Amino acid sequence: MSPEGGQGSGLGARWLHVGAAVAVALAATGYFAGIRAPEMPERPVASDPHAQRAERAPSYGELREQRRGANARMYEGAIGALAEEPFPVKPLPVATPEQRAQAVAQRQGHRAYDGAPPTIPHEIDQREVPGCLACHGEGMKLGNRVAPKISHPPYQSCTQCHVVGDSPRPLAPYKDSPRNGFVGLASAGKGERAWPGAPPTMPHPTLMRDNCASCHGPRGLPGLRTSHPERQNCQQCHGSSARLDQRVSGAGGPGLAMEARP
Amino acid sequence: MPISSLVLTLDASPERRASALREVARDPRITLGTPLEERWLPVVTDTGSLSEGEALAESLRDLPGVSFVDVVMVDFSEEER
Amino acid sequence: MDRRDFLKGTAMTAATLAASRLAYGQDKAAGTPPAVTGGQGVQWNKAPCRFCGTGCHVQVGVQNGKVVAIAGDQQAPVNKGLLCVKGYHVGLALYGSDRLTTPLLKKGDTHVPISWEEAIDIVARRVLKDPKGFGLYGSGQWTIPEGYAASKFVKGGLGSNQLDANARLCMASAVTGFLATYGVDEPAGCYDDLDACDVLIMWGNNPAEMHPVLFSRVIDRRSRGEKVTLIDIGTRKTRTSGFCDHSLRFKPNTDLAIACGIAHLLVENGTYDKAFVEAHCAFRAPSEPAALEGKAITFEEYRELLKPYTPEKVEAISGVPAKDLRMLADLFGRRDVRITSLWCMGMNQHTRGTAINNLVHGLHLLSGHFGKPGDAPTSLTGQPSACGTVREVGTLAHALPGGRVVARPEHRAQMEEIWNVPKGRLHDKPGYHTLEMWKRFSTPTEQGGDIHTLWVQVTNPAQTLPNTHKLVDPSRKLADKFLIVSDVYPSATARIADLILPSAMWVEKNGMVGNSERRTQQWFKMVKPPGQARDDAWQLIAVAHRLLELGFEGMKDKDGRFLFEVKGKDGKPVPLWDFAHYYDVNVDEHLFEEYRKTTRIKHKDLAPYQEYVKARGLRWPVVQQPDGSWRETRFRFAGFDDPYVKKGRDIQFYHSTTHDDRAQIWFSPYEPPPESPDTEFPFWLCTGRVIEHWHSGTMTMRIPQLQRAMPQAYVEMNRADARRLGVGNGDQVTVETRRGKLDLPVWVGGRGEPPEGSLFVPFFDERLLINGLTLDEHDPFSKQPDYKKCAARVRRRELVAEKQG
Repeated sequence: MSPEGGQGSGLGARWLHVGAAVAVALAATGYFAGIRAPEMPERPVASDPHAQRAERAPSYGELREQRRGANARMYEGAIGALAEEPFPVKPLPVATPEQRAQAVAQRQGHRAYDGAPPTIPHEIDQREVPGCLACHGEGMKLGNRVAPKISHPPYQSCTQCHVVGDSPRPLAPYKDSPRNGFVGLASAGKGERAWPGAPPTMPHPTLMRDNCASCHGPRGLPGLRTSHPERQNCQQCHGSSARLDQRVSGAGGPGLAMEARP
Repeated sequence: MPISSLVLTLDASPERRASALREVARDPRITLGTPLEERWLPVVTDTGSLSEGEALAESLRDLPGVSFVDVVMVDFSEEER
Repeated sequence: MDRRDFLKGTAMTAATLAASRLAYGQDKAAGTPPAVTGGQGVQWNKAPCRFCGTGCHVQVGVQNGKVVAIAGDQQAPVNKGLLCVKGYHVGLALYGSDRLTTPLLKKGDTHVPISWEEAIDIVARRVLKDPKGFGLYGSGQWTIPEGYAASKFVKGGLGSNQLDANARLCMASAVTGFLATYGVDEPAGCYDDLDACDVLIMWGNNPAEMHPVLFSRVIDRRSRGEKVTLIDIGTRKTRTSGFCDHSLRFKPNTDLAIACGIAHLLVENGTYDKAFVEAHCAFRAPSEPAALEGKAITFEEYRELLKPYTPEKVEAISGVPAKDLRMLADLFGRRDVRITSLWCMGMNQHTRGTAINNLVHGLHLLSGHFGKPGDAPTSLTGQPSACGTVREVGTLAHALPGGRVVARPEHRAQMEEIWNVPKGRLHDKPGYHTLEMWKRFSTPTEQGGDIHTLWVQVTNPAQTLPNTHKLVDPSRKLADKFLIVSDVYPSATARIADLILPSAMWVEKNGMVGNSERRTQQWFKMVKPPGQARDDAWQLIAVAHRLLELGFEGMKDKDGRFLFEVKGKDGKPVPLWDFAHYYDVNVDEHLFEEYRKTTRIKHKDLAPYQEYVKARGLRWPVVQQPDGSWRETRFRFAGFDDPYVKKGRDIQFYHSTTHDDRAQIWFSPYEPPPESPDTEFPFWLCTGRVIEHWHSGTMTMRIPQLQRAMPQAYVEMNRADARRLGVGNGDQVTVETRRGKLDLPVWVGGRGEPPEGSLFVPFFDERLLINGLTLDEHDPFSKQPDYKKCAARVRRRELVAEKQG
C-alpha cells in the first residue's frame, strides 16, 4: 500500500466510520422521533405554498398513541366482543345492593349532583361540531367500553352542557386551586312502591333522562340495569313524578309515596 | 300510624253533600281540606294501622252523599319501621 | 311543627292537588307559587342564573340550608328547561373554600379581620374626607335594587356623579348605537326572533360558547326539520363557525367596510326596502365636530358616501370575498326571508363601536328587516343585569334612573322630586367614565388625580380593565389612594384592596335582574350567606346611615328623613342598617317600587314587584290591561304588539332623535384602528371568553367541573405561525405588546383557530392576566375600550431568557 493509497484508504475507512455513525445517529434520531408522540408533527419544508398549508395526516400508530384516558385501549380485544350478539335481549338477574352502590358511586364520579350533566370521560375535538352522536346516538359497546345511548332527545350542541372531565392537552390545572365545599344532591335511591311487589315509580325527574334504556338498558351499569330488558314501554308500569318533572307546583314533600292518577 | 291522602267526590245534591260533610267532620281521624267547586273534597286520614286506614276509606265510599273516593297516596313509612 | 303535622301538611297538599285535577281537569300550573318541594326534603325555587345576560331561569334545590342541585326551569320562556354547563353548576359557585366571611383591613402586607361597624365607619370617613373624590364602581351584576340604591347613594346622597359600572367595558357602544339610531336604548326585538328567523347573522359573535342556550334555541330548530341559514362573520374560527352555512373571516376592524359594502349593494341594486325607508327612516352621517347625533344627510348623499364601498374594494380592505358580500346583500335584499342579527363583544369592544352598531342597525332598517318576528337587529349582553341595572337604572357617570341624564335640568328635577331631596342636590356635570375614573385613581392627587377612594362592588377591575399596568397598578403605590372592594372571593381586585367587604351572592339574598331581551326577573333569598357576608345593598345603606350619624346632610331627604327609610307594618322606620333587621321587610320590593316610578318617561314601564314574583320574568314595557292584568311587550315599535305605537301605525319610532317617528340609517366610513400590526409587533391580539368560564373566573374557577375542563389561559395561534416560530402545543411563549408581556402555553388546534397573524388569549385566568397587555383606546362616544385588537409579538420563552441572560 502506498502511503497515498494507505492514506487514501484510511481516509475512506474514516469516512466510512463517520458515515456509519451518522447513519446510526440518524436512525436513532428517527427511531426516537418516531416513537415520541408528536405534539406538533414536523414536516419537510416544501416550495409549494399550498403544500405548506396542508397538514400531514397522522399515522395509525400516532392516533393510537395520542388517545388518552379510559378510551385509550378500547380496541384491544374488541373484535371478539363485537361478535357478541346483542339480540335477543334476555332477562337479567336483579341487581344486588352492592352493585347498585357501586353504580351510584361510579355515576357520582362525573356528576356534581344527581341530575347534573355528566362530564365527558374521554378526549374530544374542542372546536369542531361535536361528533358525539356517532357513538352515543344509538349507543355502542366495544370491548369493555360502553358508549351509552344519550338519555335525552339529541340537541345539536353537546358541548353546551357536557365538558371534558380531564383538562384538554396541553392545559393543566393549578395544583393549589381553591377547593369547593358543595355537597351535591345524592342519588334519589329506589323508586317508591305502593305495596310490596308493585312496580316502583321513577325516583328522578325525566327531564333530560327520558330514554330509560340509556342507563337501565342491558348495557347499563349492572347496578342500574333492569331485570327485564325485553320490556320496551317503561312508563306503562313505572310512573313519573309530576312534582319532580315540574308539571305541578307547590305539591309534594318528603316521604311522599306516589301520585297515582285516580 | 299511616297517613293517607284521599279525594272525596261529593254528590250533586246540596243536602246530601251537607250530610256527608257533617259525617266526615265528626271523625277525629279525618282532616278536611278546602273543597274545590264544592264537589271535590281533599282529606287526610290518620289511622292507627294500615288496615284501619283501608277500612276507613271503605266506609267513606259507602257514606251517603259521597260518589267516589280517590286514594291519592298512602304513607307506608312508619309501617316499615 | 312536628313530623306528623308536616307529613299531614304534605299529604293535604297532595290531596288538594289531586282534587284540583279532578275539579279542573288539569294542573293549575299558571298562577301558582313558584316553590316546588322535591324528594328528600329538597325545597325547589326559581331564580335566574347568576351568570350571563341570556337570563335563563333555573330551579334551585335547597336541602338543610344549602344549595344541593340545579335544574333547568321548564316554565321559563327563555330556556324552556335547558341550561348550559355553567348554569347546571351555578350552585357550586357559592361553596368555594375561600369565601370571604369577614371584613378585612389591609395592615402592612396582610389583611386583618375587623368588625362590620369598623368597616362601615372607615368607608363613611373616606367619603367625608372629600365626597366629590369618592367614586363608586359597580357592575352589570348588581341587582336592580342594588344599582338603584347605589345611584341614590351617589347622585341623591353625595350629590356627585362619580358612579360608573363595568358595563362600560361591555355594553356602552350598544347603548350609543341604540340611542343614535332609535333615540332610546335596548333592542326592539327579543328572543322570539330566534324561533322565527330564516337567516341568523352573527357579527363577531360566538354564541355557541357565550350564549349557548340561545344558540341551541336556533340550531335545535334544524333537528325539527326547519331550515335556518347561519352566517358567521368573525375574525377567528370558533365553535360557532362549525355550525354555520357560511363562515366569513375578516381582518380586524374592517367590519365597518363590510357593512358599508352591503348597504352599497342594496342601494345600487335597488333592493333596499323603499317603502319602509320612506315611511320610517332618515339618513345620518358623522358630523364635525363629532357628536353622537351626527348630521342629517339626504338619501342621495348617503348613496354618494357609499359609492367607494364596491365589493372589490371591500374585499381588498376586509379579506371577505366579493361573492360573499354579494351573497349577504342578496339576502338582505330579499323580502321573503326573515333575518336576525346577533352581536355582543365583537362589535361593542371596538374603538368604532358606536359606528358599527349604527351600521348594522342601518342595514336592517334599509332593507326593512325590522319589526316583524324573526327580522331584528339584536345586541346581546354579557352580564345578568347589564340591561336591568346599568342601562335601565342608569348607574353610569352621565345617567340618572329611567333613561334620564344628569345634563338635563328637567331630569334632575324629576329625580329630586322622586327622591324628595332639596332642589339643586343633583350635580349637573357627568362624572368620570370608567377609564377616566381609574386613570385619575391611579394618578397622584397633586397631578390631577382627584379620585381618592374607589368602592368596587360585584366586579373585578384589576383583571378586567384594559391596560391594567396603567389604570390600576399605580394607585397601589400611592399612599392617599384607598381601594374598597365588596366581593365574595379574594379576586385579583380584592387582594390588592385596602378594605375588603364580604358580600352575599345570588340566592343568599333577594334580587332582581334584567336580561338582553328587556326581561326583568326576580328571586328570593334561599340560603344564608356564609359567616358575616352581607348584601351589597345593605352595605350601601349601612354606609349611608353611618354618614347620617356623622352629620352628613346629604343622607337626609328634604323632610329630614333618612334617604333609605323604610317603614315597617307598625309605621315605624325599620333599622335597616342593623343587618339583624335587614330582612324584617323586603328591601328589594321597597327599592323597586320606588325605582318603578322613574321608568315611564322612556316607555320602559315595569309592573309591580309582586307580578315578577309570579312570573319567570316579564319584558318591558309591561302595561296594565283594562282587566287589571299586566301584559309584557315582545316587539317594540311594532304596531301589532307595542301598546305605545299609535293605533293604525305598523311601525313607530316614538323616541326618534328627530322627533318625527323616524329611525336613523347611518353612514360611517371604515378607518384603520388606532394600533395595527407592524414589523415590531406583527400579530393581532384578540381577547375573549370560553364556555366554561364566566368573565374573570372568580366564580367558575372555583367550580371543579368547569375548572378541570378549562384549567388555565393559553395563547391560540394558527398552525402556520406556530411552525414558523418553531413552537408546538404546550410550549411556553412570551406574548408582548407595547403595554406589557405575559408567558403563556401555546394551544394549536384547540378551542378556536385564528387566521395567520392573529393570536387569541382568554381573560378568565387570574394568574395569567392578559389585560396587562390590552389597549385602553376607546370609542369616542361610548368610552368603551377595545379588547379585541392590538399589535403584539410572540417569541419562544427560551429565546427571551437567553437575551435577558
